[in-house]
This record gives sequence, structure tokens and C-alpha cells, in this order.
Amino acid sequence: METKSLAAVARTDSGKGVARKLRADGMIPAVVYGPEIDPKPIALNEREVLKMFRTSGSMNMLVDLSIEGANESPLKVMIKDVQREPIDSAVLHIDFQQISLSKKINIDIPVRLVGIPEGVKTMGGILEFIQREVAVACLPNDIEDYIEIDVTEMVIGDSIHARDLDLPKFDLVTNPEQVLVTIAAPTVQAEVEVAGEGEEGAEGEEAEGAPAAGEAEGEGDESKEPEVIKEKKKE
Amino acid sequence: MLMPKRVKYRRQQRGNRRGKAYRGSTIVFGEYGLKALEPRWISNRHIEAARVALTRKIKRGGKVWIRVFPDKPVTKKPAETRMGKGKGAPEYWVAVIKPGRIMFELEGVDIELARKAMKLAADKLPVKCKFVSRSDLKGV
Repeated sequence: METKSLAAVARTDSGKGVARKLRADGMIPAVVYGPEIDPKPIALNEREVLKMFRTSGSMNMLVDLSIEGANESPLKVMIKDVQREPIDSAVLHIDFQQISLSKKINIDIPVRLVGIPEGVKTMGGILEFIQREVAVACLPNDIEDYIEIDVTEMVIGDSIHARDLDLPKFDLVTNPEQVLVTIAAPTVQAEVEVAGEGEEGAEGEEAEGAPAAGEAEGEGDESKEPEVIKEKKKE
Repeated sequence: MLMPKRVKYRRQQRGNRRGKAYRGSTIVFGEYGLKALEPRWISNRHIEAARVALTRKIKRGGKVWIRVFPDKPVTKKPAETRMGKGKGAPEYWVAVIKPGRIMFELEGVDIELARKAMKLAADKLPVKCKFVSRSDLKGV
């Protein structure tokens, strides 16, 4: 896996006011911590961070973090957490965790599906991607951007479990019985379609000049009230 | 239409819609999502209309998740009634939507069809929405 390098500036002030000023100046507040270092608040250039995200295959990346002003060699870190703004998903804050290259770490690796399953292509099945990440333990240098699963041979009813993965470099942490991908029969979807068609028919009738019946039906549905939970009488 | 099965009280105060949806603002189940950009109450009729639009467009092969539930009763006084005499009767149910909330999720269709289906669903809702996908955020 490629190692990214990132320059950071140490910051002494903290709090939301300081963080907001930093963001307004095109910086992202962050923190770096780990077993061998004290938690250290830092600030990063937003453009550099976004470029790093764009050019990497996943968020599981090794980063050489050099902190300006600190007389230390670059720290080997990984991204532990990224806080994002709810509306535009802008990066608000990043947590970096310092790691040792000789110690195994637990990490979630994204799963990527390859191909279109036979069951979907010819039988009309539905591909259900149940678990999108697999938890593994491995050395930091062995981390991969994603695990590929070939689903082209899958037919309706087939499932791929975590135990089916061929992971020579990793120790599986996820439950081996965990289903990752399955091809479901299209029956559920067909029921929904039938219901949809029924409603379409009802709408059509309304349009043809029977609005009263439609309204009455609608009101009947609306007037159903939920049961009110009553308090038990004290004896 | 969606509504709770059991409630503790029949009526609720209106509450507020200040702030952003810090919870429920990321795609969890599917590949694509419909994100609200403004605060509004969304009734169970709106949700149903959007769901029908979504499922009809994707026909088969896709899977839809509804990430909001209308658990807030809205009351209304009858027409031409004098003020007073207590709060009106529950009329319909709403979900309180704050900006950033993912309302619907979709999986199992290509991005172009997902975009079109979500546009149809968004047109049924009283909020400005945007189409989001997992690949917008790096991590997949």
C-alpha cells in the first residue's frame, strides 16, 4: 500500500471558536494520538487533505505526518475518524492514530463486488450487499484498499460468507459465518409492484370521475388511530 | 401508510426544527441516497408518494430503504370552530426532517437510473433534496 505524506502545523489553542477560524482560513483541525505519544492538536491544509483523499483507494491509508515546529521525524499514522458536515459533507475534523509498523492492527477493509451476477442478469434476482466491510487483523504494510469478490457466478439463493474469502495476509476478525453478499429471489419486489399497480388503478378510477370513493378510501386509511398506551392503575 | 402502531399520548406539541441532522445524515444501507437540504415536516402521504415513485421507476432489481418514520401527530381543529375547547383531533402524521437527513436509500440499480428515480421521489417531497452516493465520500 502506498504511503501518503502530509504536512501539519501544531496548534496550541482549542475550542470551537479557534476551530471555526481555522476552517475559515482553509485549514482543518485535527488531532494525533497513539500509544507512544501524548494527544497533540494539529491543523492541516484542507486542499492537501482533499487531494490525499481523492488520490487514495480507500480511507485505510498509511500517512507520514510531519508536524511543523515539532523536532521529530514524521509520525506513521492512520486515519481513525473523519467528522463531516451533515449537509455538504465537508471535512470538519480528523483523528489520526499513531501506529507501529511491526504490530498487527484491527482494521475494516471495504469489500468491492466484481461483475454482474448470473442470478441478476438472467433470473431477475436482487443482489443484496449485506456487509460492505470486513474486519481483519494485519500488519499496517499489508493493508489493501479493498477486497474484491467475484460475484459473476452467483445465482438466486447463493451467498458469500466471510469464511469464503481468500485472505492470506489477514486474520479474519469478522464472524466467519457473516453473510457478505446474497442474491435474493425477486418475490418481495414483485409484491411491491403489484401493490403499486393496484394504487395506479385506484388513481385511474379517481381520474375517470369517481373521486368520492377514492377520498373515502383515503380518509378511512387516515382515520385509523394507533392504540394509546394507558398507565396501569395504582393499587 | 406509515404511522405508529402504539403511542403513549394522542397529541404532541409542535417542537422545533432548528439545527442540522447530525444523526441519520450518512448512507448506511444502500449505495445511493436522497438528502434533505432544508427543515420541514414530511407527512406519511409524502413518504408514500415518494416510495411509490421510486419503486415504479426502478421496476425490479433494486432495493429501497425508507430512513424516516412519521411518528409525530399533527392535530387540526374542525372548520368554523370557535377558539378554545381544547386541542383539535389528530389529523395526520409527520416525520420531522432537518437539513442533512438521508430520507431514502437505494441499491441494486445503476447510478443513472438511481438519479432519475430519486429525482421523481424528490419531486413528491416538500423539501429541497440532493442525490448522494457512497462514492461521493471516499471510503468505499
